[in-house]
Amino acid sequence: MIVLCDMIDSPEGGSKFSQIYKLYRNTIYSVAFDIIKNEHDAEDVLEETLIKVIGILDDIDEEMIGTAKCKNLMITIAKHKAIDYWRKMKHLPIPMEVMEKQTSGCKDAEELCIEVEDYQELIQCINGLDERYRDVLNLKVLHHLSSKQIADLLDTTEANVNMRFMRA
Amino acid sequence: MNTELKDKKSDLLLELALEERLEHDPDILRYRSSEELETVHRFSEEHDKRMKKIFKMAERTEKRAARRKRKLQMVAGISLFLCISAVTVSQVEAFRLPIVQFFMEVKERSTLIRSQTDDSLGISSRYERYIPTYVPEGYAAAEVEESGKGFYIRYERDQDWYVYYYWDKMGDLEADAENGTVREEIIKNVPAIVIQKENEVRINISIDVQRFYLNGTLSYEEAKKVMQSIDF
Repeated sequence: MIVLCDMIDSPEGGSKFSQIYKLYRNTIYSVAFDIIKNEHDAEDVLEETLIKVIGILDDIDEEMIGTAKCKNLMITIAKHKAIDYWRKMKHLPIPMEVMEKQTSGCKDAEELCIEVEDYQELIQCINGLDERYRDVLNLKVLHHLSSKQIADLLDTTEANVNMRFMRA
Repeated sequence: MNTELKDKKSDLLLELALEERLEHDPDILRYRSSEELETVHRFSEEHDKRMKKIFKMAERTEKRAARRKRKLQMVAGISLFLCISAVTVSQVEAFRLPIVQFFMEVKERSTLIRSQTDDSLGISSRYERYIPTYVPEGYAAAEVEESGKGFYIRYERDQDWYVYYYWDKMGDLEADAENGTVREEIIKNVPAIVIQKENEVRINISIDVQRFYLNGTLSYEEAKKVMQSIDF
């Protein structure tokens, strides 16, 4: 019975969160500092990012920590947190989502998926996406987070998340 | 079905593409070297203090998840253990037979106990003293009938049976003794006529006009014990 039960601490030593903190605190700080350009504020953003990470700790596999996937997750959350923080500091309004008109001749998403035989072409399509849409796509498809969780991480509404995902 | 498969294929393709793309992601490449980053910033004491609180939050979350996981594992473990035990017990004859025997005995004993109480036989209190208190092992009352003159109880055990009769007033009782042995015995200081024919035994006791009669396929010794248990 005891053999079946997992220990709280990983064999490498330290909980999941402490592993994440050790590996990514400087990365998150750097991302925040690059946007905010202030050391103390960047530390605040780091703390806020980590609090957000606690909210999705159950969805982060221990095997994922240390991979590019996990790093991307931390950077995405940190970036959005830093941008929001910067806007609040500058008292800038949060931009509203603008509905883009669909151009004629645009392919149906399903058709596009079915037609994309070339894998590299798909990667290029993703590279061409707007950063906001790409971030939501990563969080939803790569990290398997729900719309609610993504909305909480990016400090936006579920409707916005769904819309960005649909556009992506 | 085809649409579902296509959707799944698309989703998988997308996931693979996103994952592969990460290797060349500008942000990942930009913040690559953690050794370089180590020298950039020294975190403040206030930050370290705040981090202690954040660590406590994280610990609570992780402990909650671990507790939930452990509970599920224990429940799964116990269920598995019980299933395996039940299967093992039922497979091994050495365990199965005593258990089955136990339940059979309980059933028999409970039937026996039930047949020994007056209430369960439904005989009125005026005849209470004339009901035999001894019932041979394995026998149970199968039929009871009472009239103004007396009653009878039929007992059964598998293929064996016997019937006990009581009459308040009974004239001469004729019994078929052809090809059987007839003898007189003394049972509880009272003379009794015993007839044994093939595998049947009959015992007849008369006290004044009262008649106590037993007829059945049980042994003479058992039949005698039954009659001895009556309060004449």
